[in-house]
Amino acid sequence: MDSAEVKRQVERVIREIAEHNHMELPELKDQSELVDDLGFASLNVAALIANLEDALGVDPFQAEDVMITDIRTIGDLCAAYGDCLAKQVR
Amino acid sequence: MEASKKRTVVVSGGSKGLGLGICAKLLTEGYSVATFSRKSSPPLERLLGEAGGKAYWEPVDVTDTLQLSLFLQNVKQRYGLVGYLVNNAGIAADGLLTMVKGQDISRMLRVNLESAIALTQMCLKQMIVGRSGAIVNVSSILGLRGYKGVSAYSATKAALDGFSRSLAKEYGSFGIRVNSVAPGFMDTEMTSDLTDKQKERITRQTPLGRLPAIEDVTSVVKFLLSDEARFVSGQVIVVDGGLTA
Repeated sequence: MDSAEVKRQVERVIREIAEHNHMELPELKDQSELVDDLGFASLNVAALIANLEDALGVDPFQAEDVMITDIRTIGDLCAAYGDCLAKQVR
Repeated sequence: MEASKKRTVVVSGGSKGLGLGICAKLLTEGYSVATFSRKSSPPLERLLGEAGGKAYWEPVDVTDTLQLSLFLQNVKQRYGLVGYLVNNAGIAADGLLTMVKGQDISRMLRVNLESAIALTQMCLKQMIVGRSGAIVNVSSILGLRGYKGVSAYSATKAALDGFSRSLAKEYGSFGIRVNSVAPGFMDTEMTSDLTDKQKERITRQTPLGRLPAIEDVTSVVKFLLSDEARFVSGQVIVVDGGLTA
């Protein structure tokens, strides 16, 4: 799976969670911050991680030495999933 | 979750005793039942044969998280998202605390508590995706009342009850309910160390005049998983014929 597909899945899941919770989202950019810009609270982040595992088949925060607290932006999130998927292929 | 929706339940430790009874009960209720244990058993083989594809079993040691994760992948492929979980697998290392081997206590803590938490963590993610779910942790009256010779076992069961309560608060907003069922002394392999005299005494002290049968407990598990219990969460439901009342 290439990085464009990872980004597409991440943005799709973010939009679905926001829609479910009736949240207004700003334009999604790599540097958009999950908490401060998107308004994602901890349970939204939990939903995000669960849904991304369902879509991408990995959870980098369980499988790899990555801390969810190190993830601030959409770009950080895409990188964490991209790295985890790349390691699986190898 | 509506009755028309496909309902997939994972039951840990379904090869014998209460776990086997829970699998059989949930099959009759129309669930797709996925269970595992270290070894199969003739009654489980019979149940799998009769279930006609609605039941699935794998040899898995509950303490092996990699095996658990692969099992859940297979279940998802076969039946779709897991919406229900019964943490039933458990072992007892009984005896006065100073007489029980440390390694037996460690194994019991891993099976009864750590593995239940790990399995819940994995299944919960699928429930979050499905935005509904129900979890039943099989606890014991020993988690609520003190008895001689079972202190470490009691600790694992009291811990499970605490786990149920806090998890119910954490994930309620996803439509996920978590409860414990706390049976009294059932006449299963787990209580085979009880002497006839002890069983007679417990029976005498039980207002309803007998030990709990497996069916007494499976019907409560069925209820707690069902929509009939849709507003019940974070509770410990005692099934002991009034022994601890």
